[in-house]
Amino acid sequence: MIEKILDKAKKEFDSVEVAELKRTDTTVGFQANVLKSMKTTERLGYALRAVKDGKIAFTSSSKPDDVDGIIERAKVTLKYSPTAEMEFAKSENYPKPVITDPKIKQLDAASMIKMSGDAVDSLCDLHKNVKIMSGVSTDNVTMRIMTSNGFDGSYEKDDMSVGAGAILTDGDNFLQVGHGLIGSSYVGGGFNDLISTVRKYFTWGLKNVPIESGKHQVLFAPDAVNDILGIIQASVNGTSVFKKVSPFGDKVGQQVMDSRVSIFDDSTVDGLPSSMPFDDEGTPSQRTPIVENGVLKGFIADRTVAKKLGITPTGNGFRASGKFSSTSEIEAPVSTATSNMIIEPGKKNSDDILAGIKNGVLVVALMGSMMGNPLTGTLAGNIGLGFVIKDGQVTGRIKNAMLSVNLFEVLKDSVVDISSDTYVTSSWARDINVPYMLLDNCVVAAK
Amino acid sequence: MKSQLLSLLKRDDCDYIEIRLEDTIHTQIKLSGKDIENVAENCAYGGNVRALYKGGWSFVSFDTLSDIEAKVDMAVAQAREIGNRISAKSQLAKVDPIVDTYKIEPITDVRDVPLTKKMDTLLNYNEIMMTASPDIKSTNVFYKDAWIKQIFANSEGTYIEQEKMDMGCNMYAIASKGGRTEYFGTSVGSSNDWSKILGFEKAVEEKAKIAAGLLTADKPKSGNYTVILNPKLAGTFIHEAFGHLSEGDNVYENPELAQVMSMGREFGRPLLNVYDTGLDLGVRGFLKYDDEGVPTEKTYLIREGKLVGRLHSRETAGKMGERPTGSARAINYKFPPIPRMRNTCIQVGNTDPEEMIADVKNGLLCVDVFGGQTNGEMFTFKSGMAWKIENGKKTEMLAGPLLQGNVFSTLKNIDMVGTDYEDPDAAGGCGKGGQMPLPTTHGSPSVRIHDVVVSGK
Repeated sequence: MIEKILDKAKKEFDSVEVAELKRTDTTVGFQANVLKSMKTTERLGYALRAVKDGKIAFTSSSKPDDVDGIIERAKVTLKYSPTAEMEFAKSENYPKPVITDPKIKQLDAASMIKMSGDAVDSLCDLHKNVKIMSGVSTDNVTMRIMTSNGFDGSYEKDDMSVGAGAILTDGDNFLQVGHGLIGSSYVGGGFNDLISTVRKYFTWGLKNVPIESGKHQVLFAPDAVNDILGIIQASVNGTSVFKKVSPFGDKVGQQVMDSRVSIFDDSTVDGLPSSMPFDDEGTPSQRTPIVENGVLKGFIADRTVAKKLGITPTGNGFRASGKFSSTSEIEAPVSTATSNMIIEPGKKNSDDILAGIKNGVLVVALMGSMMGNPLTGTLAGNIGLGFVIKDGQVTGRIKNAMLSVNLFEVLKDSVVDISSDTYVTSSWARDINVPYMLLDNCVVAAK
Repeated sequence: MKSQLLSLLKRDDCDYIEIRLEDTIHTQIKLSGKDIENVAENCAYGGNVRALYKGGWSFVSFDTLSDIEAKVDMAVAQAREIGNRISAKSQLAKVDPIVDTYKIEPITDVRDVPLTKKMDTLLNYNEIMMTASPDIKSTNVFYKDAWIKQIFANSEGTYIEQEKMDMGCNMYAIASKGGRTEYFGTSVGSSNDWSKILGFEKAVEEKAKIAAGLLTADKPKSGNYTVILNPKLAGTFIHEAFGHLSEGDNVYENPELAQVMSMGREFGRPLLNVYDTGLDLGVRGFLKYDDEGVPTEKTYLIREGKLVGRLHSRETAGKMGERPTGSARAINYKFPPIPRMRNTCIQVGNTDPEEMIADVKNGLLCVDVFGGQTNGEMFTFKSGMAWKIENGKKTEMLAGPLLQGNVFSTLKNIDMVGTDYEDPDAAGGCGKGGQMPLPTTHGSPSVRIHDVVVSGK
């Protein structure tokens, strides 16, 4: 059908791009210690971008044989569509990261149920009233993009994720911990780490301890580093730069962070969840330096934003901002978003960093950090899961406390350490591979 | 279609099975400063089959409807694969089979409004905001409407054809000066009247001026305050603070939580009444039948401070021996229904909002909302802006702080509920279990709460 749409659209418009997204995923889940459900979804959809009279129209459909409908809707919306700033992809070479894995394809329902059940079996001794949930998902995606400029590329991708969590309701005190593994390669090998991480957080969380309001040294676990990157990405997104709202807009070449901080956006690494040969508009994937040794190197940009900024597109044109958000399907327009955000590791292991903290806080999960205005550089949220550290030991869980950090200041002047161990994690917004980060001068407000 | 679907569902190899098909046309518009960022009309078409066998669920969703029989077979096979391993009893609360065709009668149908009119309206608001102050550097106008035709059939003989309309729009002005950026705006939404979006010229100008004003506003000092939430913020507050914990899927397989959340437990003072309703025609949270074909209703969650109800799917109600409430919802055919909110409200009270300020020595009046989140016990929400209250007077305008609370203490600290009930709608909606955004509404009057942790500077 993709060729049909391309051929027909070529006759109606000056230039066109058609995408076909096919996807099958399977998930099994345990809930409250028991096997609960199995889910299979099969998606097949088409998106068209078409340029005429200097405007670029966009439409999509998941209806079979909706060729005429797609072209008709593109014609209707054309008059009000954005000005066409860029040209669609031409035929060119692109990298070929390894993003399929026969071990994922071989996982049948029975082995997924077994793996998920093993997580429950390994964790159900945590407490007599603990409720374990776990799940295993596999996902097979085929993406094909064709343009009237001669680009015709396709790739296949296998994704796998495994997650486990533990819930304890002790009167009015709720404890909820969880952890996950994700990749475009078999991640079952990390199973024991997954279990030990959940065990560790749960055991630490059984006791609540008070914390004093004020400035603290905070060790950010990888999931909390994801919240840090959520704030940073808003300022390094070419869209914010073009709109002149990014505080980093005029700072390329300047020292914006501590010299130990290096941040890349990289969709070329084998097996990472957001790796692929080209982005959703056919731009080849690449490793884009954002911050190197603390110096701002550049921004991420899709074809439209790159054209506006006069830079080369970085392979960051994606449908919606994250692949797990429910809108990140064929009906989402292409915009500039991160692929795999990567922070380079430091020298010391995270366990040793923790052991060296005299007085501090370990933050694992923040709540509400995406609600603020990220362009201010402020990361703020309720500490959903966090712990007090005294003399290198976790003494208990912090509750009813808020964290507030001005990252533009703290990442520049108050970086204490960055761990040598890194972790691939994923949130609804982005995929990352990052170390632990120990930052000073973070404000905690407690009840 | 009816006899075909119902005959497909006559199976003796599972305990329950249902089919849901959807055909949706939606329009999305995004304006950003001087640019039109996106205008699209999309078609989403597909369905799902959900089956239950010996307590095990399977859910199969698809875009291609041509081999629906195979999808039914697949769903049954998967449910049996799960059910045979757990061998539990399938428990669904009993409901009477319903055969109905529900057509909505829109005041202004989104399909009757030409794209030209939608664009002109939004471009005008955008222009008003852009010119409201020299400090307004950009805008964020997001509009989405949808017309949905849904068919639901299950193995108990229910067959419902249902139409739904949805429209929501957020209009925000972005002010920027000297490296500082602030934003403020307004929103609208409806499930039966496109023209609700008209008449916002004055409102968007005022909001844009507030955004510019916030550029020089201080942040409140972090600490504990008496806060007054305006209706818009109080609505999000109750959604996060109590709505999510009322969803039956948190409780039905957790006896310890069921004990904590036992009926009659005191959560607030007698002045606090909270309900969730699908019956408010016109708001985005309106719903005739939920995605299990159960008629919706008005469900009281808190009456005079005490827990009286929760939001159920047929399974959570069945397992807890409670009544299904028509709260099983899915954002679209790609997802299974789970217990969700509709229009969640704090019932109107009897305090004049002006009176709430009178005896506050050092507090905050928090206005409008940028979102909220909860983990069941603790919750957090972001206000759009705030006024400092000193000795009973509104004094300085402040940038909107982040607030947090704990469901077991914060609701009890509500000591005043206002007379100024509103149920404002917005674009977007609620997210849970990977399903976002679900059209929900929050209604509330102003409320006053003591001892709230505020994160500012």
